[in-house]
Amino acid sequence: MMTKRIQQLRNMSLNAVNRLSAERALIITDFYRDHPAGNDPAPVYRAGAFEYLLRNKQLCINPGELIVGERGPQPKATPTYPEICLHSLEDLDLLHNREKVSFSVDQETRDLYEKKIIPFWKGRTNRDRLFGLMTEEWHNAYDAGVFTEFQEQRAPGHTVLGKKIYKQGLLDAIDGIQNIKKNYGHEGDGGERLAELEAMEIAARAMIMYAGRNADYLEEIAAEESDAHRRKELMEMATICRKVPANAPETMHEALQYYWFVHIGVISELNPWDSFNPGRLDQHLYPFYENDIVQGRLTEDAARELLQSFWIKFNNHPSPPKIGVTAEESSTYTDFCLINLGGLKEDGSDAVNEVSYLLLDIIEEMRLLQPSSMIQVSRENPDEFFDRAVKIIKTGFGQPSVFNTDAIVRELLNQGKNIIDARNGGASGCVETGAFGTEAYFLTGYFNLLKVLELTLNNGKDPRTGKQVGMETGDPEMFTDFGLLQEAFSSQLNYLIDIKIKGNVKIEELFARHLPVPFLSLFIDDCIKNAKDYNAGGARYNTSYVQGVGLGSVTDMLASLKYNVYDEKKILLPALLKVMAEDFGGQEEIRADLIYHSPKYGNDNDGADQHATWVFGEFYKAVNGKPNYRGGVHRINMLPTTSHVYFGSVIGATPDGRHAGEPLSEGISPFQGMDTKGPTAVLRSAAKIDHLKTGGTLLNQKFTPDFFRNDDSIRKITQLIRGYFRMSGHHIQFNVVSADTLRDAQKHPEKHRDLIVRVAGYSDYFNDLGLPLQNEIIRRTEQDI
Amino acid sequence: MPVIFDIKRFALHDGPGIRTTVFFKGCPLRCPWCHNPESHDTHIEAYNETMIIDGKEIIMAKIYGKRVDLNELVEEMLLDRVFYEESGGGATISGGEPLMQFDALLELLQELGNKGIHRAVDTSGYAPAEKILEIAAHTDLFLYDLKIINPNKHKELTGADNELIINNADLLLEGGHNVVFRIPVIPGINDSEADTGEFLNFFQKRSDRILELHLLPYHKTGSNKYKKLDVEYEMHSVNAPDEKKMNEIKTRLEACGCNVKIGG
Repeated sequence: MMTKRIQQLRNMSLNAVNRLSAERALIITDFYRDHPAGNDPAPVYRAGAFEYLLRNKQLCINPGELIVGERGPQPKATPTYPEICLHSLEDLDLLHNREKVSFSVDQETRDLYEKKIIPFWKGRTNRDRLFGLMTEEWHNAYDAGVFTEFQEQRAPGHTVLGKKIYKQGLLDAIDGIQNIKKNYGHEGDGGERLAELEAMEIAARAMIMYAGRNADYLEEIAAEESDAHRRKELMEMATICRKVPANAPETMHEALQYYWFVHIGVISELNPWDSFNPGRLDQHLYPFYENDIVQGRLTEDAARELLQSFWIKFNNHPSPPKIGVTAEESSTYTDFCLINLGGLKEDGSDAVNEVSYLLLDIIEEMRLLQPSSMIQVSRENPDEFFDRAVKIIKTGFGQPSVFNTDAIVRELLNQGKNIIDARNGGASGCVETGAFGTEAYFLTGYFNLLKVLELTLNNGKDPRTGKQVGMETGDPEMFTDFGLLQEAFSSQLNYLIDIKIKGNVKIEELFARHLPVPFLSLFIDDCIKNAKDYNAGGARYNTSYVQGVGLGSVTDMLASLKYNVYDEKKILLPALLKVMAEDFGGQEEIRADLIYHSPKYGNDNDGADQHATWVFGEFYKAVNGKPNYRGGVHRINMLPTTSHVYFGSVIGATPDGRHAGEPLSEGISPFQGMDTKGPTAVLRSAAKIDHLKTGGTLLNQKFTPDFFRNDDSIRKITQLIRGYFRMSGHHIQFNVVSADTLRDAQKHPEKHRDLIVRVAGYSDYFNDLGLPLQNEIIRRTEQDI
Repeated sequence: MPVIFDIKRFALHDGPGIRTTVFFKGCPLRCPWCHNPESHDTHIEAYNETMIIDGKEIIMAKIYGKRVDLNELVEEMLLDRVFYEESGGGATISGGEPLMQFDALLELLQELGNKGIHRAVDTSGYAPAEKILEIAAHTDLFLYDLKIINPNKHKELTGADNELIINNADLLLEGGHNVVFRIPVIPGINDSEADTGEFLNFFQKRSDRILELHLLPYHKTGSNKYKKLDVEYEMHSVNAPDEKKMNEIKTRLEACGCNVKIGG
């Protein structure tokens, strides 16, 4: 149930135009121009910029809202970060005009860019510095689409808030900072540490000041408000803004407002990837909720309204505008705030509480793109909770996704985290495992596993450009047995990973030196204790991830090569390469044979799946444990966002029958339509790789809405997932297929071999049905949705 | 070495929980509404399938049926064990008529039993009594298909007497075995007042021993396969029963005191 004002706020958020706001860029430009850095250490200078921004930015309080604070001057007015990445006038035009994920740019903004922002920042951005530092080998691989670089337009992010802010205010943090300061003198690196602590204090005071500005503004609005009820509410909100974030919150409203100020601070200070989020929200809020109810301060309805207002704030904040490869790898407005529900308490018991259910209601009612949501499911969690969540999945907007808490805890323990930090953890972004409140886990870029194989089959040369991108691992004619091909692939993989990791180390150093984040550092342990910035390795755990992409596709490629070339000797490798070079032109029989008769990943067939575990193992060995700049190590996870489309666009035809330029498989899912043995076979194939060695894997499953039609079928879906989780699967999400997909399946049956539909009291593959029945199901599916 | 024509994993309508169903090839009945015509003959049959690749028609030689090693079959039936355990599911042996390959069926059920797997057998009941009783000793649940109660009509439409089917059903019920009766509801064939009355009469007499009744609405999904096998499909004019009709029959049969479900 939504109250009228929540409906209005929600509509306002849904209808707000995504537009580019020059406000932040302008304020930051003024600051840099008017306050030359001089001898200021970087953290202090950046804290100064942060303070200047919060002092000068326009305030925005939307009619009827209960939680205040907008990053831009209006909802969805999205700032830019010219110190990181400067948009040219052409970029602005592109953002304005492009069909997908566009940002409207008005003439005034364009003029400000032309006259003030571009002239000041041209050639001076972090992006310029970053590309300048990379080697020729790095650029060759980057241009060829071997990997992407997360930090080329955005700051390192990927961290989630823990419990800290619910127990202490920023004034407490400042007390702590002043105590720590006593430990340091100016000898050795003491000066640097003192500077960082000073910067954190400036940033903390800046946020208290900003909250105060909001309080003043609320009082101003209250004075003019004619409605007595709203006037009282505005005055109460002003009181809350004077209390938090300076002091620890005591009510649910205060806790939510405190969090939101921190959120605004983190995403205004820089543009961290995978926006900060509150993580285990049901855990954090429950004590406040319970106490508020007991004290008679809050009713359940009032709590709902507060949470709904909070939800809308996320939706008002799209991820900052992206261009180039960054736009291709992450083509979405989503900023990947992922609310975690359920899971375990610190003592290992079931953490599901009343607020978990309340938040599931909110997710279902609000049905917003942001924030994204997930449930953590452990052996300890009740079926009732799981069933409730699956009923939301059924509605077909892909939320919440489902995670295996028991796997997440073991992944974190494998990485050397303590059990308490592990149980306080969860997943963020898409599927990335982290210890909330204590870990800085940077994602560094997607890595194109297929491109490595394509380069291997071309002696390191990119067939698209003729450029030598990889190392010379031998002419394919030399691969007289499959083992030799595997060896060459491994060498190529290690060579290219090495380039990526060397680049990562330099890029991390760049941010540590030039773009520290003293505000964010206040909230992630142990940055204060270590007197070290979040970007410089101040967190308790410092991890850098390389995200593998195309596991299903590379598996199908290797399986096809092994089966057709080496085992069955149906075709010689050079002949097959020639067919691929021509994109199967006129060779439809060969293509059909490759699609229908070669072993494919996702069918619980070891003939194919062994290649998945092998490639996964090689990728793991190449990356895992390699030191990063911040005293931590590199690790792997397996997720693509939208990079599998980009990566596919730079690869020619492949021996699994895939056409040139077509997208790759996503996450650890099978290549589209190649799994024909049903979901249990997919889950068993996917569980063959060792998820516990990763920091997250992503698995997509398609079902028609009919699979969720009653309580009995919903329970079977939860049992299916529980089975996957017993095999240590990390994550699964359901794509409840639409009638459009079914129509596409009629046109391109070969792409939809995995599509299962319910017919009449039983299920069948869509492809196997006659046309009239297909049409009937399409019609029914439309009704179901 | 049984001849099978399919193995379906994540089968949700062939008994409780998540199951794997293996389909034995060969059936003594010839019901014109059968949606698995490839199940009729015990032999392996060749057919051609036309695939469209890049707009071009490609003819592929395919077969219905394969002879499988029993140990390998058992192994395959065990692959989804983790899902059976989570859901209270197991293995279902269907057909065709699985009892036509009695030895292989018995051995498969014994092996699955040794592994602690829940076993369901989907049968037409058209098999010698002593054989069905021997199978029953290794079966946890029968999905027992009943098409028509009237003996003449049954003989006329399926080519077989139903006396044996009904006697076997009684043997299983008297032996205390778990039996779910499944009735395919086919418009114009067995959905008349008289048919339903006969079903009701049949179930009423046995209701205290029957686990459940399932009404399976007829569907035309098999028509494509008839084409592939070059066999005439006689049911083109028959359409799926509507929901109202299904509910009417359900309500009527509920008078016997059994739990009646639409769908498996």
